[in-house]
Amino acid sequence: MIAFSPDAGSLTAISTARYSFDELAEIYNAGRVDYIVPMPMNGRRMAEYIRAYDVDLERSIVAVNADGDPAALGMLSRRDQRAWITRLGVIPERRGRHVGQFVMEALMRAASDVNCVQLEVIEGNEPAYRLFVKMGFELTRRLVVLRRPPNAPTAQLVPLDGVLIEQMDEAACLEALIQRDQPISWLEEAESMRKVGTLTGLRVTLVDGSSGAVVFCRLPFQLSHVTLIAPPDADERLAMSLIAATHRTFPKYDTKLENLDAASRFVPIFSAMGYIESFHRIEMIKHIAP
Amino acid sequence: MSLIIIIEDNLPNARLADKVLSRAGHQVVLAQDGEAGLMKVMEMHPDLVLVDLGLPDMDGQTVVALLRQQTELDHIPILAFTAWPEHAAQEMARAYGCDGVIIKPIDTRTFADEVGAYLSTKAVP
Repeated sequence: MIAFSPDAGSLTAISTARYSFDELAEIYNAGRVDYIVPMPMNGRRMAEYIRAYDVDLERSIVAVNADGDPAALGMLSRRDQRAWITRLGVIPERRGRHVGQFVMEALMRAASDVNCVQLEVIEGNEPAYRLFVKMGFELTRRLVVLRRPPNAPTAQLVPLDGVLIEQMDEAACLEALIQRDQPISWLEEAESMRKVGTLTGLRVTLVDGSSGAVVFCRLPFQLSHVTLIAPPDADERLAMSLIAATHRTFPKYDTKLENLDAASRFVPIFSAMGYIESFHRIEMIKHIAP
Repeated sequence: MSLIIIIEDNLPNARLADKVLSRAGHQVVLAQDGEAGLMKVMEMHPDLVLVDLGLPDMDGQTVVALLRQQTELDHIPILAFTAWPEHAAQEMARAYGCDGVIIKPIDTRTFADEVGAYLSTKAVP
């Protein structure tokens, strides 16, 4: 398909299904090389990402210029009547000619049969944010990415004497995830978490009978997508005990928490338990009229 | 002469750092991802490690966390090598057990001295 955009020059949108995972990772990395948080990937990591987050390779595109060189990448994921745009990036030397708009228009055409399209943009990436606003996306909320190094001493400071800690199987984890605070980002949805790593959970019951759960994905060296599930009126001791139980059970794991609502009641508790703010994302949505 | 391992996937950045440190008399070994970097550090026990926080196979923080769990490597200074805003980089690096931070892009006039300052901060057992 040859497409022409007013200022983009001659660009062609080629389905990402025609590229290897290594090639897609290379194009993605080239588009983010000058980002403050570049988050590069290799082919293996790209393949895992595509699988975990239901990226539709047929509908995702590489924008190629008249010389046949990749200029940009944009990926589209689908779940039911929703779509999610991800891994969007324009190679620096090819920016400034509406290439990003070309990619967005192609992805929006590919998503024309859904009810809504979601995306996130790293806070501070003003050109991308302005493009998304221009395309009709609205800000929904601010998200935070948190990290915690192994053996951060705070996990030892919460007494767990008399606290009942039970391991949860995958079915119990999935059941618990349904009870989470809403809304949930695409990365954190149960459909994502069950494919990222070994879904692992702990149910914690305090001496006073209050109970909650923590669910996360266990990778070889990392716990990721850590999610707390606690009643809305739960005492903060419950959340602290859930976090402490996690890190006492898995003390040698580096931990990453993706896309927690920055206004979540759990943010200050994670901070008190040794989690550090890595960066913020802005979540945006566009509803599509039927 | 000190042995320095640079774990950095961005080749122009890695080569520039290599050039400056080599000119200052150090032996430099490059690793382009976390796994290769971990293997080289465990095998070669360098005098200092520079770790990019964004690597293609695993995060730099995870690399540092794994290195810091190896007691036989505890004496090796590790510097985070990143373009993050300095305050955020310092906080993250300190939490993960790095000895310092080098902010990219490097200043080729001062980079060797900045790195060199950490070479004598930890005594070899």
